Amino acid sequence: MKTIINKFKFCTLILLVAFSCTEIGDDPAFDTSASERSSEAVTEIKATLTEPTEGWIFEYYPHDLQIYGGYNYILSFDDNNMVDVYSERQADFSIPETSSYDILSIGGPVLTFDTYNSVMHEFSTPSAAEYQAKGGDYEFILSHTDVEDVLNARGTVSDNNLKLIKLTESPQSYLTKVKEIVDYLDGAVYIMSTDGEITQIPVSNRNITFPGEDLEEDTVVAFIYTDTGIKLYETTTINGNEVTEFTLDKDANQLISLDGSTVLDIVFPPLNTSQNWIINVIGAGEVSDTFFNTFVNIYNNNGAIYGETLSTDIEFGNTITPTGIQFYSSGYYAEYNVTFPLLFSNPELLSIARKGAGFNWQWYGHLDPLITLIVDNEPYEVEGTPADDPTVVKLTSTVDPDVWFTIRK
Amino acid sequence: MKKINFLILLIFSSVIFNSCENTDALDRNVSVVNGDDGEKTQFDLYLDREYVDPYNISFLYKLPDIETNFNHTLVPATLENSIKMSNLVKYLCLEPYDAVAPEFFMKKFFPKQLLMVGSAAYQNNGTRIIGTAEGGLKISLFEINNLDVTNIETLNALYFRTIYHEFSHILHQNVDFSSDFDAITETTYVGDSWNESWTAANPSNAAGYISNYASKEATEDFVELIAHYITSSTSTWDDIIAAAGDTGGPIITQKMELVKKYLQTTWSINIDDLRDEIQTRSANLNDQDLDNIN
Repeated sequence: MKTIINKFKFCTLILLVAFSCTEIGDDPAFDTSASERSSEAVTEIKATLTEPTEGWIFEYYPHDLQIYGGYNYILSFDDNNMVDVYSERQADFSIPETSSYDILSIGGPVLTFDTYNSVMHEFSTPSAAEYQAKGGDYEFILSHTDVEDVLNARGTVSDNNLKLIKLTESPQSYLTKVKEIVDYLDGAVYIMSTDGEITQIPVSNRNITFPGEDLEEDTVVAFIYTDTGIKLYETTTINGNEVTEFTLDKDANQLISLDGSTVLDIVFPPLNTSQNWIINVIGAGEVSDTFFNTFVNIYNNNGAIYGETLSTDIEFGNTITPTGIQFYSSGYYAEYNVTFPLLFSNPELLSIARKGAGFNWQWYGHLDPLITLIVDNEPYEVEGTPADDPTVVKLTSTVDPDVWFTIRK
Repeated sequence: MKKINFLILLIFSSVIFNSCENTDALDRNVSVVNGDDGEKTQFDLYLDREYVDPYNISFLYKLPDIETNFNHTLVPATLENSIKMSNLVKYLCLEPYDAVAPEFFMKKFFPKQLLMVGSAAYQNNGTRIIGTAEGGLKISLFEINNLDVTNIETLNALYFRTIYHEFSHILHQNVDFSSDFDAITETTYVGDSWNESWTAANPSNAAGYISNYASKEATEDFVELIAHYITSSTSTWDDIIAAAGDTGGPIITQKMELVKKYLQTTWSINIDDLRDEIQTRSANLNDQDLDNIN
């Protein structure tokens, strides 16, 4: 609905401009007509866009609620209305995808990417499953800001307020730095100390949740990785301090707000649960007898109830967002969502907590005994091979040593 | 498990702003193509030469979001596929009509704008729209980014039947066809429930319709016959008539005779000649250089 409203607003603007140009005529308050001023604005913004040799960093947030977080694009415009687009989402950002752009004059300069670019239009491309795509924009109302070399770009569909920042190095150089930050923080957990109290700061899908003060609700804000740390979608008040951007300090393992008021300690849990792991239940020596027997019970129950065959491979970790444990039964997925909260008393152990029913779980509640076994016997000792970047990890319960299982990448 | 029903492809004819109908009468002698204040690309020059000059058609391959309607999320077409499509429309539509119709026929009557859209127009019920026409002026073709130039059946299903269908609407809106056509299956048109009215046990062709959509009303029936006839070979058409059975087959044939007569007497177009032209070109499609814009 918001999309429709925004488009109506957009068109209303057009109509207002159209009538103002054709019926009112020149405004005596200006030396030039409205249409001349509009044309000048387009010319000026195009000159601005095409001026930087290296292009612009585009801090792009799809969806009107920014639920996917922000992503870095690099846009390099030329005078012939062609634009090279790079993105941190590209597997290889050494090669841009090129397409056309235009600057429309619709009550102000509007940047549109008007031929398809798989990089630029990724979040805007609909499908049968997502008929409104992921709420991404490909048209933006541009305006100058108080900061030199920074432009505002407001999405015409999402109404998101985005930024174009002049780039002073090559696109590859900038995106490589961003990628290094992304890779470094992959799987990290953040904790914040407030008046001696330690709180884990949840992060999911490039959205970070800061605890509300007193009785206030928590604040969820999207963020984007930068070449020095992370930047929030909008300025957020944390413990009375207005914070927008954090710098990564690898030596201290901290993200520190630019004014120093807010510090997030970075902890790397014993297991990176932001990726998919597989439990192969029938593999030799992969799970304990207790685990195996519990699986056999739910396997048989599942067959008796639906006549389906439960896969002996179980996904563990970041299966379908949010994190969880996912089963596959004769063509159907079912997931129970769990979290992996940091165990402050012993961060070397892996804690697993129930979060709630996930995808299709309402039909597969009979699989719950295995979830119960896993969750009720946390925390787990983590034994990874190889140690620096494990691909095989054995999790052994500290409550009952007879409960253990192996997960593999 | 989320199950998404992919229903049949829909073809919409719509006039977005009804209020414009009376005041925005089309003057087909006036150019619809605005001057371009930017530097023209090779493709722009090609379109000027092949579309604007001979036909006064604006081939819109760029998609500012504002060009789209309010109900669907759409993305632009790739430049590469728009180039292919421009050659396809010329080869399978404009030139075949030129070959059999009077001089300037296409320039005078063909829709003035063809809009290329990269994605489908998905609806929230899992269906998708494959083409729209707005007031006989503009045909929008969707899913250009999925263009498969090697499959003529897909090309016809996704694009060309839509074009022939909408173009035929323009013809009967200029000169109406005989009411004898309306009378043939006057009592069995189903209106907007065309999508739910027919089943495998009760198919629309057995009731004398070339497609389910043809059963909506007489005008849709009329243009669907044209679109299907010229995209079918002689043998394929014979199969269609045979499959329609002892009742449906003769009805479709009876309607088709009136369609032929109308096109011949009103527009001096022999639809069999038109079909032959299109079929010959379809058979030779693989020999065409669809990337050529020189």
